[in-house]
Amino acid sequence: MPRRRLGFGARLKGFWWKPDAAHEVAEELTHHFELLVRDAMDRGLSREAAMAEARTRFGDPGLVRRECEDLAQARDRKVSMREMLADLRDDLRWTLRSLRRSPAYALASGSTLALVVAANALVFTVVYAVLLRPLPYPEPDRLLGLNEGSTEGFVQEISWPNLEDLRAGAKGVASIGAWLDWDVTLVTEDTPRISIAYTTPDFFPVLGRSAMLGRTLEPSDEKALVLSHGAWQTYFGADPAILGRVITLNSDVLTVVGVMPPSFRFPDARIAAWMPLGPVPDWMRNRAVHIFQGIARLEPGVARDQGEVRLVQALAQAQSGHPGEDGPHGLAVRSLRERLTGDARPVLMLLLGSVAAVLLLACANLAGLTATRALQRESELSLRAALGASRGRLVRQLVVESLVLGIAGGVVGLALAAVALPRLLGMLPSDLPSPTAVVLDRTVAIGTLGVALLAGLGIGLVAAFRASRSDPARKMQGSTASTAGRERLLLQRSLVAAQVAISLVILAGAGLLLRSFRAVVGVDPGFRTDGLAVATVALPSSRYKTDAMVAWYAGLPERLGAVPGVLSASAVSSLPITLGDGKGDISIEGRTFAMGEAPGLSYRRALPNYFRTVGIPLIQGREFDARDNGDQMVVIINEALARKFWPGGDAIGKRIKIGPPEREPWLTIVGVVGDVHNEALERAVGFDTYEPHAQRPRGTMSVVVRTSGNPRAVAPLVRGVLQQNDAGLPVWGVGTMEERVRGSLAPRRFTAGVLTAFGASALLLASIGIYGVAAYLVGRRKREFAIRLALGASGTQVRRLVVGESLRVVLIGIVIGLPAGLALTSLIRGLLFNVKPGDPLSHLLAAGLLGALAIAATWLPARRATKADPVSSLRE
Amino acid sequence: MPDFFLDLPQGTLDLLVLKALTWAPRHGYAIARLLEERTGDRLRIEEGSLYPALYRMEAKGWIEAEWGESELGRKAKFYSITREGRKQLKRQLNHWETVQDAVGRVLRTENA
Repeated sequence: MPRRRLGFGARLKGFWWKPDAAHEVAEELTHHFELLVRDAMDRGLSREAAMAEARTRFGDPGLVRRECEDLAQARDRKVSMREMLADLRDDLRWTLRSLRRSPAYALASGSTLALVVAANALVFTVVYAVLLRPLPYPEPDRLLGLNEGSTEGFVQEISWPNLEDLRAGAKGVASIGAWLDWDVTLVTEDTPRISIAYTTPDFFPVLGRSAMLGRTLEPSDEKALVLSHGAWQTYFGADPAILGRVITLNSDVLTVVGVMPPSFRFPDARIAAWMPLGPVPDWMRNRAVHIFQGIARLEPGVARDQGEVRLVQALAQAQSGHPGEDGPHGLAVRSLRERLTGDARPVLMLLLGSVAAVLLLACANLAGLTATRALQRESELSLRAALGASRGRLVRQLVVESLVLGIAGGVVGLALAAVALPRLLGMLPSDLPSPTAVVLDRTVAIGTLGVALLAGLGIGLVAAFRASRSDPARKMQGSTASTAGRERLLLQRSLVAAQVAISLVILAGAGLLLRSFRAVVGVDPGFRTDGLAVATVALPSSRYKTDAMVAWYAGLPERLGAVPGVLSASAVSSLPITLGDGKGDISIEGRTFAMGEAPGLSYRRALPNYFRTVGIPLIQGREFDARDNGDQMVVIINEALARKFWPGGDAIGKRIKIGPPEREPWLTIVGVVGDVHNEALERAVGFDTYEPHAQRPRGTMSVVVRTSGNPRAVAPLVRGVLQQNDAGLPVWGVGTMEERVRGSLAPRRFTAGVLTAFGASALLLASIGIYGVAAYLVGRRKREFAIRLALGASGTQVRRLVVGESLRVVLIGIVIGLPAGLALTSLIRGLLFNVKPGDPLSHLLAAGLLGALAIAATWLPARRATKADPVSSLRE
Repeated sequence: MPDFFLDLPQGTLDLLVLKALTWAPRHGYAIARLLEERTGDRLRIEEGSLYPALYRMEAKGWIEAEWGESELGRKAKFYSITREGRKQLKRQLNHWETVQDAVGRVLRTENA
């Protein structure tokens, strides 16, 4: 007999019963079978007969069971999916409604997240391009960069004989290529200076990329050239018929045989073309002449460390076979990426770490904000809970709300980053090596959105964790208890402390970098940077024989002196604050050095009056003048060198050699000049030598002009003088010395600037966090404050109470942040200059700044606390 | 027991089950018995068709099931018709009547 309606008891019994599909079907079919038996027995059959009849009737129960199980499972999937979607729709609707109801919160948290995500996306774009994106060469793991070590612990270029010995001696290495970069003038209308790479025949095979147009270089090529994609676009308008075109570099006439694809930028994007090295000149066939950069490709199946060991051993063996030809420095083998990006890694890791810290801080900030907001909405949430919404559902709603924020922040942030990227590219230090293009590609976009989503999830979970522990009955009574909310703000306070700690670390880092920057700026370069105009000119050797070259330069100071506003003029082969012409070991007459003991000297050539013009003081002896025409071999040395070997001040008249003694002549010291930070402001003063230009002529020199007025105004006139009689002369680098000094500081300024911006953002976020908690607290405890005031407490006492409570939290953050900062800033030791990572001023200043800001951020809420009207707030 | 059974056209079983459930929620056996009784035992509801049909309709949301206690004192699945099921029943009923009418017209015609 079917029952008309399920009784309450029947319902209750079935309520918790929720079997899986298999049990469900088995249970149902067995039930059916038993009823069949019962009915048959009711008709008078014996139990056995009834069972037999039921079995016959039922047919194959297994078949029915299987079909039903499949259907049940499909049903369950469909139902759970439907329920989930319905719940999600509800949650989304609820979220949008609640966000619309508080647009200020939605806008503030959404835009905070978007900005922070954008900053992360930008930094990650750069980091990914430089450090992570696979190098665009087949099997990049098998590529190695080869250099030689040096006695000073630096890495230096590798010499040709050593390269040849490595090629012959290293087993397990498929091939070794080498290149050397060079600046040349592309002879077109505006004669731009471009960087090119002279390559050995193995260069392209080692890298393993083919050309986009035409072909790469082949061993038989002599006067051929392969253009980079960028150069092809910039200088040749992406001419599709470029192949076979004849172009002139300096005085070399070359035929374009290929154009590389845009992703081929080796060793970096600066290189405009690759051309064959050709026959190696004799002077390069010297073990002590370090001018090549090596790359090697390991044979398949050779492990990297194994290959490295073999290469190092091969060079050691080669060098031991030629003692005395060069110092005993070994091979410096690095992975190709490390070789290409080595210097940039610490800076990039610093930026990535800081921007991630800012993101973390923003998350803590928003989690606190969301949790506080959840507190304010507690009666709403409690009502929902009381009406039957499950805890899980409430948690999920908060998480969905934050996820929506995360997605919105991620999408908007990504769009912001895409817009800002071109501007950032313009700001990046020009020496940032990037083996792959700095583009916001799909990987970066997906990574960014993932991070934004995670941030949203994290914010939601933290806030929900808080909200899920609220007690509905208490919340619905309202917040009448006078000390309500004290213990419940633990989460918000912890989050504020975390924000303080994180910003302290970032601020300390920024402080250290700023102090380093100031220290570098404060370095006395050893000459007068103001009032100097500079330019570089190159006399092509095809048109200027040595005599003509010497004569042209000899007359140059006079020609420049005729320009109005010019006080004196001269020229030098390498300007200060650039690397010198080169280095050679010293030989001193009457003195022998053990192998590798002789210090290296940097050398430059100068015209008469160079020292007076740039403002390097003459300590002893004389400047170069018209006498120094190459008949007598003379040299001027710097004070550091003089003091090292002639501490008695008797350097004048002594004779030295620079470089291989068997080839180099003795040079008589005629003068001692002041020390100059010739390589870079932050590099220590080295041992410098200067020779007269006429003694060792060279086509390319940098002109220095001291002006009475603004050098910027004189600089263009300098170009005019240089090209006076030969309009085709390549002239570049026209500007002022101050601009060049500033330019040399650009990477440091960039890093310090970015980190300071991060620090400022961190400070802002943290103070918003501090303000938020204080404001909420004051709102909640208005009653308490009113009572205190009514009982005679002074405004100052109440203010102190509020400020004091904030300060306690800030202090906890500082106590955590200070040691963390001390530990973490030691990681950037290499980026600092004349400042120790533990520099107390930087760390304490950061802590002080945070403390001051905490007081400022609490001031407004504290004032509001004293303005509480006792009567009205007690009535509330 | 009758010696012949009607063969049910496709979809007709669904229609009958939905109709049976409009009177009250029932478990599978009760549905089968009810339908057999109402057809004077001329219709035999095969277990092998009934249960798959029930699961299919449950997935489609035409009927829903609830576990309760049956007359045997055991847990049993009681099916009831949903609002969607009632709509479906109405649609199928219209369809059924149209088909029946059309087929009947042809079959009852004596001479063409």
